[in-house]
Amino acid sequence: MFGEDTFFIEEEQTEIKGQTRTLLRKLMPYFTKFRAKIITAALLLLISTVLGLFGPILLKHAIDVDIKMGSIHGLIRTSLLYLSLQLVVYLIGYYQRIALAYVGERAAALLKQNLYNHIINLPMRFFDKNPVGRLLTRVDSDTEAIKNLFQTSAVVITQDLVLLIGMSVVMSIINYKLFLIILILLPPFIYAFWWFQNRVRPVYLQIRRKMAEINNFVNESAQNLSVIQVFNREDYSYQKMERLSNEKYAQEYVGMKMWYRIWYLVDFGEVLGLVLVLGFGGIWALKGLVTIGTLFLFASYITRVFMPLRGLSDQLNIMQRAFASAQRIFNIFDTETEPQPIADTRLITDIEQPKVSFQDVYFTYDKSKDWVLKDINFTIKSGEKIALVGMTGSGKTSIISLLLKFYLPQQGKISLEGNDLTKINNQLLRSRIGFVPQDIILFPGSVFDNLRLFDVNVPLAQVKQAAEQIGILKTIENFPAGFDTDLITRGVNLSVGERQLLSFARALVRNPEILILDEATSSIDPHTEHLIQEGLIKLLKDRTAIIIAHRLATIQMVDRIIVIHKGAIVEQGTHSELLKHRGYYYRLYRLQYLSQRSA
Amino acid sequence: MKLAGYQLIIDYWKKNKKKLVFITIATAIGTIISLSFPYILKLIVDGIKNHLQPARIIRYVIILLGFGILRSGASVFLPFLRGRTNEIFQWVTRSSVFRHILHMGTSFSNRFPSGDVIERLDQDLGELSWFACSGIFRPIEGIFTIIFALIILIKLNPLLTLISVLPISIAALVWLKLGPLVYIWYRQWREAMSATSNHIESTFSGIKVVKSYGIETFNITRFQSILTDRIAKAVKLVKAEAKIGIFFSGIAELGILIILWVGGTLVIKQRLTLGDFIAFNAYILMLITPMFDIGNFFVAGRRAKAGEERISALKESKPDVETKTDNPIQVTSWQKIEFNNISYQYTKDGRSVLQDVNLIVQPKMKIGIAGTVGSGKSTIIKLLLRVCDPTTGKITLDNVSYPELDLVKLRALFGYAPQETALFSDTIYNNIVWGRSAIKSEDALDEYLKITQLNEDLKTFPEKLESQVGERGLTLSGGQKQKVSLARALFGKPEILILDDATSSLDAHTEQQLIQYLMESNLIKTLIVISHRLALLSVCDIIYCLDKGKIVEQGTHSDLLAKKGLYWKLYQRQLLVKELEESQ
Repeated sequence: MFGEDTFFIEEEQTEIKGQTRTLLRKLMPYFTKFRAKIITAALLLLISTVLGLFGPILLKHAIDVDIKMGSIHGLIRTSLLYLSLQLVVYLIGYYQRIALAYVGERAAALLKQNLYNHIINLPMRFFDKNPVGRLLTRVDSDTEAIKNLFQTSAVVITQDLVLLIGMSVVMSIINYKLFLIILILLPPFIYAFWWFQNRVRPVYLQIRRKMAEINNFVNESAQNLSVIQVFNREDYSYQKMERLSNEKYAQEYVGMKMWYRIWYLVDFGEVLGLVLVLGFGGIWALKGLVTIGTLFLFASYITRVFMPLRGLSDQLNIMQRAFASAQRIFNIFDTETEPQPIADTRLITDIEQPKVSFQDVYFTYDKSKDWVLKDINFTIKSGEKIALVGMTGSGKTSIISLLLKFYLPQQGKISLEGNDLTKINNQLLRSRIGFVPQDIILFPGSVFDNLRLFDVNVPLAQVKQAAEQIGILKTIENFPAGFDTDLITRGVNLSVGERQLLSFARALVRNPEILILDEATSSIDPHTEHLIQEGLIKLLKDRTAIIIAHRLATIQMVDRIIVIHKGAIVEQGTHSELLKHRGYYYRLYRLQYLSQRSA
Repeated sequence: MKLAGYQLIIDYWKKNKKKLVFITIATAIGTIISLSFPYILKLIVDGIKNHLQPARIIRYVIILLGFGILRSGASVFLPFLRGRTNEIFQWVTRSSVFRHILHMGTSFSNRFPSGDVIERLDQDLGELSWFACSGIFRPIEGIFTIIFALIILIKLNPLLTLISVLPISIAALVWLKLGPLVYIWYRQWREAMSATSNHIESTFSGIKVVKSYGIETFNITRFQSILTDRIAKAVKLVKAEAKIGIFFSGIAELGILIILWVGGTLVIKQRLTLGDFIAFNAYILMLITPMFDIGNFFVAGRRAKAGEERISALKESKPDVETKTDNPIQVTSWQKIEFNNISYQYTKDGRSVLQDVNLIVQPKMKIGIAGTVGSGKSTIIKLLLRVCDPTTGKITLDNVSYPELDLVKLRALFGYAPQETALFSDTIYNNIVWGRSAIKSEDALDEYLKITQLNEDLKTFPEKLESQVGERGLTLSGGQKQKVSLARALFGKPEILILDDATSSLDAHTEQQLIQYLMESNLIKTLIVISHRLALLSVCDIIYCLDKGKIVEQGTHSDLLAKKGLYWKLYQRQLLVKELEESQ
């Protein structure tokens, strides 16, 4: 099924709004933090690059002076000087590289962390619109692209620039005539290079889009294998894949041809430079106007002048992608978190007030659509257990989402012990609520950590006690590594009942005042039903609870039932009262009852 | 030779022996051309030194230009050849794996979720493809370079060759030891990377728990420690690589030092020409890259092997249904499909999804399947379509057992609208016709659009049938998707039309209209429907009612209602649902 979880193509279509300068300015703070290290690294880079220029100069000296004079002593001195110079260059290069790697990694990690921290605090609406895969790409890959921009592109380009200037200076000092010859050569090559560069970039974009299309097609096909087979569309799908592959290859081929033309140009530029230097220089050398050492130096430099051009194309490509990534990252940063009251521990606890109250609440997820909840009014006393019942889509889940402050209602007021929810800090509110979703959500890590949800202040004994009470202790101890088992990596298969009980245990560890339970809908055998019921009784003891109830046993257990229909409360009362009333609940109950009996 | 873990690459080259020979020869020639360059340089320098005629020098320079053109060609042609072969390998491998996957069943999908398949066919295959040609021929080019360079150097001066090359050969040996170590650090870094993505993924997919339990701070702290570890691993790898880099460059400089010192002395003593001296310098520098390439071969090889294993795993999986390959029986017409005591379990020791099911499908029948959620209704359809085979019992078509039949011909009997609409990011037309236009006419399409009432929706679409749906196009509503899916099922004018809960998102009026149009048209030969709603079931000649994998009742709509059994209950339930839905 195509839908929210495919976004391969979108990735390649990010438009860079505004100027790259703005993006750079936004990125700056992540790097200025490491100012000292960056300046050191930049200095080291400068020094090692400049020192690197001296290698050929020393060799020239060896040829023109030492060898020519027949001085073996001079030769030894020059060669030792050469070796120590090179070692210094490499050593400086090493420290510069480590420093930059360190800064790059740290800055990327900082960006990752900030983005992650930002996203985790975004309202639930954001997560409704952004699939997990997309968020993963933002936090993981897009930040890496920016690291590459800094670690590779910035370094390479700076280095090349310094090198180019340095070599020009040296060459013009040693022999300006020869240098002029090379200088004449450069502009047409650089121009041709740019011309190609601009033509190759769109091709690369095309290649990436084609790859995205292929991935999208693999995704849709892998998800719909049986339908493809039933329609005998295997060959058709294969041919479509061949077509896509062919298109990608064709683009790739065009790109490669352009790419290698540039390379040819660069390589040939080097050859032409050598030919000119050796041609003119050779004749001049015969006349004694130029030394052989000078020719050697020019030959060495020419190779280095043209080398950077090879990499430049790559670097421009990396930069382009990095800016697109930066744009996507800052789009997320621009999504505002909901204004939050500061954590106020002095929340007034008014025992006279109901634990939870909904007053004239109206709510919709999408403003252009109808109300999902209309005129919701109810209160829950401390210790009271209520069940929300209604058909699928009636609005039960929306009510608990509002209570958890995942969303804010458009109208009306929700309060906890008389305190308006909008005035309570999220963390503070939620710390008093235990939420048990339909299915347990496991995180990478041990059962122990999953039950205490990584709260290091919770000791194992407390978790064990909770597990014992819920009746899941034996099951956990039978896992391959007991409480240390990582259920995901170990691939432990949990039954529906076990999953539900683990979920109960997780909530019990927190010992919340208010429990919100979204009962699992899947059908279960009587034995499991019994286990869950036992666990639930323990969990509900002395707690205020709101349960989206699906099972008969639960409905019979609660103090009051609130019946929701099409976003409104239609009836309230105990099970027997409501049955006697023979209204909506009576019919709903018969529906539930009928389906459970036959299941 | 059997090299486990490189089978895909070996198979490719076995099929492309000519190319293998060609690339090898091209590599050898390219190497020789590149290596000729410093030699011409030597001729020029010696020429100047010996005060030859300017014309001779010019001639040498022209030769240099000629070889230069060739060298530029070779230095571009070889990478081009390799890059192109990498791409072709990638294409060929992707296609063959994809073709294999197309025949896989549910067991495959359970083992490899689509995201995993993409990762294997994108990143893993990308790395493997690079290795398939570039990874192999770069070191080969390196070996050629080393061999030819050594030959030239020995011809120039054996003694100087020996002592200047000595440090480099030691370095090569060291690299062979270090390479695997670097691979370990690389792997540790990769593991730290997947720890990062796992953490991000689990946080955001479990965001409701994260938020409701207020564990944002814990997660942030954990992410911090994961990132700290990742930085450490990354820096460790960079440090190792940088150290190795220094070591090798230092060794190469040691070679230059020796040439400078010993070679220079030899020049002074006139036992070596200045040209030789300069050529030596150039050749030593030309030996560094090949050494890295050869050393890298072992590291890249391990990475490629890991990728190959992940890709091969896709290829080694087996389909859920096997077909007789020699002379399967062709299906041309049919009179009867029969289920004989069919039972089905997902796993050997698992719960029975179906038990002792017997039913008969005959032309012109309209069959309904009703039952509670999870009672096995869809499994009957899957067995009928032979997407899976029963655990026990036999399904026959005109008394021939299913596995004996030609699978393509068998499936061609059916038109199928599944529960999940299974559309592709393509035009509406392509989703309906799905490449079958050669057999059916356009006129029919209009009729299907009318039956499914998709024509009503099309009016609002800017490009009608050519409108793109999915990621880059329109977002269809659930009902619209089902209409497209229904039109697709009708399009083949199937012998047997199967609707598996395929009208659930249509409103009652549209569904009623659909049924009416279907019954009026002469398109439907045989119909099998699964539905929770009664509108579709009530037009059936026979309804099978399932409970926990068993057929507990069968008969016509009115028969079953009169029985007051499960079907009656479901019916009551449905009435209640309708009533509840409609009540204000």
